[in-house]
Amino acid sequence: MSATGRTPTPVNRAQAALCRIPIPAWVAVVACVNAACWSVISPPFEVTDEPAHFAYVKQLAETGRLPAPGTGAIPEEELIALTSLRFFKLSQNAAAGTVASVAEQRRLESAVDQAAKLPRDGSPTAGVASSEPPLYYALEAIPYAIAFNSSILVRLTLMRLVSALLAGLTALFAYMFAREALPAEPWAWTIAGLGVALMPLLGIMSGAVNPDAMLFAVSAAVFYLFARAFRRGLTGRLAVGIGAAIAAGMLTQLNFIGLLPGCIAGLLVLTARLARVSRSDAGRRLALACAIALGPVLVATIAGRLTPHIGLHILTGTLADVGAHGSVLAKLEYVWQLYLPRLPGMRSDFPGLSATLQIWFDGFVGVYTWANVTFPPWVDRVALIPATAIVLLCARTLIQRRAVLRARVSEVGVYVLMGVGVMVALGVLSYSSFPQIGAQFGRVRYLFPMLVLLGAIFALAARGAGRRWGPAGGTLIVVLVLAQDIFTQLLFVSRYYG
Amino acid sequence: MRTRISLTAGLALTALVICIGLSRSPPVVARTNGVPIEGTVKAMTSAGEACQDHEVLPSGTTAIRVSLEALLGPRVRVRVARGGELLASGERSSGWTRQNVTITVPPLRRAVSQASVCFSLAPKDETVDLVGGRSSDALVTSGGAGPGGPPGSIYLPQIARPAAAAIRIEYLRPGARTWWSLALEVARRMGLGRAPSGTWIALATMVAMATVVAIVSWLLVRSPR
Repeated sequence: MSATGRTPTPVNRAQAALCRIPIPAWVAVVACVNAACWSVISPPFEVTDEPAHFAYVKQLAETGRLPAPGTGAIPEEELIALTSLRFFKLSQNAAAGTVASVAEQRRLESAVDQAAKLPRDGSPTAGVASSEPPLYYALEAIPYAIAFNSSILVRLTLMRLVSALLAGLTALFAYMFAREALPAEPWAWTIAGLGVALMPLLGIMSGAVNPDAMLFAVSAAVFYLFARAFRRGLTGRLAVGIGAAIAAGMLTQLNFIGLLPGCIAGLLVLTARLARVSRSDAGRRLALACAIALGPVLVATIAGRLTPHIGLHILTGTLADVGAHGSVLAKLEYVWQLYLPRLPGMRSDFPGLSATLQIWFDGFVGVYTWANVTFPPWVDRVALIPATAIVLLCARTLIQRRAVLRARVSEVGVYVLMGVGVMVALGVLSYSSFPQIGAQFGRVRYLFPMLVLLGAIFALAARGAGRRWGPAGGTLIVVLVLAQDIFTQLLFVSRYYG
Repeated sequence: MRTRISLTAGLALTALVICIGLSRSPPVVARTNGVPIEGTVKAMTSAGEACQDHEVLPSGTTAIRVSLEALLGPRVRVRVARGGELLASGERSSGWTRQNVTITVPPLRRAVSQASVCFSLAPKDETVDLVGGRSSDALVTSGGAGPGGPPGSIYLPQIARPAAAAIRIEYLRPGARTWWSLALEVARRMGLGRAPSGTWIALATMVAMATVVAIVSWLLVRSPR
């Protein structure tokens, strides 16, 4: 019986129950469902490097061992599936589509069912994935083991759904980062969370078997934990959390290295702040965070379990390549021009091309999978209009709140350093194959460890519209991202199933 | 109230754009030159032009898809000529990527045979691979080859005898059917090539996305002020 004397109807009770679920949980649900939809829309194995990542999980789940470094043949079971799925035609021929008839589907099912009976002896190598650390693959080994006796396609479906859960974590941390870093306007947290949750590229990568899904989630967690520590101080729990998140990042993907300079700076700043109150506490918590962050990697390296797989050989090899050609100035100029307009006096490394616009902005608007699904060029130009408005509104907020910004300069500096670290790491790695390949790592997904900052930009832009119009402006931003997501889904449908 | 209005307007505009998009006909490959994709015919590392003779372009061609491969492609110009007469031309700005580049051209009013399709590109640093296979009509190029010959594509093998090879070209024009009329076929195809399979997959995905839109709308409206 309610206070008004009326008995609540089941609909009312359901509404009340839904309203009791906190907003961040809903944001996570949106990201999970969106990524799950993407896991259906992207044809099997068609997301970047998915065959290699699948092979890694196969090796880990079937043999308990990591794949050996280097390239090698695709496991026969996977090769049979790829051939039956027209994988090789699809990647080479823009006019080719996926399986088109019921008869072809029957042949596919028969082929993968037969292939499932082949000896389950793993995959000695996993192509480009071989050098990656094992944490994500260990997680994916669980759905693989659950569907062990099913066909390769069923296993892939389950594994993709587990990845989709990680998209929920990414969006959740984006929401919580906004809550800690931008506490003034609670409605703007939802804008940040939903803006990230609906990002098509997050959906695509998290709707596939790819360690990017976990990297995005772990990186988002790192940003959130630092934001919380900057607001509440480096508590023992936060020291453990930051250390664990850094350890997870280092065990997930090599690209996480780009965030490390910012993480180190962040820990030092937080320790220095705490030292003003208690030097011993500050020292203990710093040591705790560092021990947890470095512990798993050091132990695994000492035990010889991870040495070939942590990618140190690749990293050192790439750095040797980078060091071998071009002066230091040439490298700096390259990294600068990879993101920003060329300055007077610089040699043009991207002639006739605006890297900012054509690599990063156009890539953000829509260059997907193996870069063979793209919007027509005019879409990129139209997208410049709302993007410019968002940047201007964000700048307006930052100018208006410059006093707050000054007061939190060390915190903002840490976030900037994390972002710059990721960008410089990509630039340096790309330089190793320059000039034969202009920008080998010029893909927006490599910048997605900074995704929570994009969520914060959305929130700041909404606040830039003013107190009266802010929520409405934020709503438009979310609808814009939602529209991009839906249009991209239709683009995929037209490319693969049209 | 403002939030509700902007939400309604945003969703309505999105729905309108989707409806307009689905009312259009997708481009279809009207004809190809029949050259298989076997590997790299030639690698261009500097400015040059490549022409392929004896091409047949169907009437209504609105775009030409050329099998060029680069991670960061340079500007590409395409010319279609016959007997010295320029029949069509188009250009694609730099920044295209991977295995092919589509260049829009003014619609061809009638079919053209025995045409030369020439495309010029000016890579400054990055290698552009011309991709194709064996053909009786070999590709004729001027300039562009790097010292020491082509290094071969990142993804495809080098053709053993490039002198007897041509690149693959596809000619596109708007199809006869709209996306609306193709919807059922597309839904059926979405349900194939996976496990579990069935047309219900497409329907379930649409329902899931509709749920996402509903939750997002509700969150935006109920979000604390």
